Amino acid sequence: MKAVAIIREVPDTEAVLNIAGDGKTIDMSGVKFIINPYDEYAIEEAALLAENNGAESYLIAVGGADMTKNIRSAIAKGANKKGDIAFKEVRHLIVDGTMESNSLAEKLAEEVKSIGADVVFLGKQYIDNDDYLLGPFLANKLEANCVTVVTQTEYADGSVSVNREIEGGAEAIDVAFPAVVTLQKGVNEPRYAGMKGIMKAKKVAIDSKEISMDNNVLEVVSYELPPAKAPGRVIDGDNAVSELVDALKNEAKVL
Amino acid sequence: MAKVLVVAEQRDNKIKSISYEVATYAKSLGDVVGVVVGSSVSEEAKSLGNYGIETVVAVEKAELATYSPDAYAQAVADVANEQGADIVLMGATSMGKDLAAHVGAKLGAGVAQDCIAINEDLTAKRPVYAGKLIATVQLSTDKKVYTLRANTAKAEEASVGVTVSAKEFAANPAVSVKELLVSANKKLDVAEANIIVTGGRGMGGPENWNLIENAAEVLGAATGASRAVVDAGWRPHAEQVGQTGKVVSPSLYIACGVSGAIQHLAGMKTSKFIVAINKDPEAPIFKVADYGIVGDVMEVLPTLADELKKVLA
Repeated sequence: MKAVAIIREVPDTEAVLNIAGDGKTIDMSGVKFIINPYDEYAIEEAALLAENNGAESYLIAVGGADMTKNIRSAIAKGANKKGDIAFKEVRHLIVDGTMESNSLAEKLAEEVKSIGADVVFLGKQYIDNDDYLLGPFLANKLEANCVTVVTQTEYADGSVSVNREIEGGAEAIDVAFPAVVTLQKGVNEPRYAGMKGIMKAKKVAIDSKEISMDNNVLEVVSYELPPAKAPGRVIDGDNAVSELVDALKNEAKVL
Repeated sequence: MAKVLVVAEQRDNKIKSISYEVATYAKSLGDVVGVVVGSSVSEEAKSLGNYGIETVVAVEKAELATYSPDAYAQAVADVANEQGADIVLMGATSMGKDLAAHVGAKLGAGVAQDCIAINEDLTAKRPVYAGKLIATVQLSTDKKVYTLRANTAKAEEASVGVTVSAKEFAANPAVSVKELLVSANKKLDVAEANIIVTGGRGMGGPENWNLIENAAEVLGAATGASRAVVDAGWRPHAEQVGQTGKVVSPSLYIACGVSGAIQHLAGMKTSKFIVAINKDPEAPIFKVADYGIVGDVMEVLPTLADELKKVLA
């Protein structure tokens, strides 16, 4: 079995993002980048498959030229206690500037095809664009099955049984390979990188190449700040609660 | 004039209210046709006629009872092509966002997710970076797919004569649902509620959740939870409101003992009215609240439930 974990960098959630002078890009200078939090599940899942199922696991990292440090952390997070690296190969697709899901899916499909993967893991969402597009777009280009928001996996020959989270419960689904699977919290417990893994990760060869976003179907025309909300009021005093209820009824008219 | 295909979402063959909002909104974009996919939806499909849609295609098959991305997307894509739709529109629910991505892929269409507006020139506004910014995006493909956030439009009744036509569909889902593991709890889901009462770490512990539940009951509201309390195991993940939980946009959101981290705000700040109850006057939640009470939730909530009962009885 060949498994691929795809990780991508995103701006740290606490980063202050300023709109650049052109009004349609973000000024990323000084912004700290992290690996998309949900991608940790992809790293762990691919590592587990290598350790427990004898799979050949690969790591593909997408992000700027400065991503190396984060990539090495990711490699270390996939290592076992002895520091053995789970990944047969680590590739870095360097993107300068804004990423777009269709272009990215195309480039990733090329990489995944060159590996001949049975299963591809992604995090269920990217916390910068919240677009939920990469998984389905990638699956479509790979002509692979796609299942998203997966909270449990059990592997068999040529397929995986998953639990997919839905409102009010879960669906038990069998998915034949090749498959793109996006992972939700709870599917596994990402391990902490151990010292041995961190040391060995420093020596892992990373195969880097620059890619360009040359088949965008979505472009950002402009960015703006969300509409400023009129300041609310804090109601104090002994009768605060009844005043609140009154306001909700007669002012806001939501009751 | 553009041709718009509205994909109405159903659960247990009942159309979700967000779909009526989408139907109303679609009229501003062009000529509207509806589609519903499910096991037994042709009767229910007629309800779209109450919201101005004259033509609805019902794709009915036993195997389509539950959402299967490939089958549903193929059905929608087929109908979109048959109807000559330039635009495909649906609610930005968890199913909607997933389905929209697959429909977009099949149609070779760009997809704009979780839109809070679609302009006349078909650019769309959508929140990004945990709602810190609003991006106006343009889809360059001939066909365009959009998902619309709840409460972006108000569903407007406009009864017209409606024709529901059945469409044959050879559903052979590559990915099929073996079993539905439904939680026994049939509570109102946060994503579908008009009023939500949410608890955060300020509630002190899961044993105090009856305070949230009592207030919610008086209001006919759903109960929500911050990520912190879900991570702590106090409340189920289904209740989590936030960027990585559910994004909600109800008429009234009452945040109790919630500090207001960016990721939580991303999930609720487009709510029409927000009430914050927190001991800490500096809590960021007050910055987005329309009304706030600085106080102990343990005291405020019971009083709130009582006062609400007086007004709503």
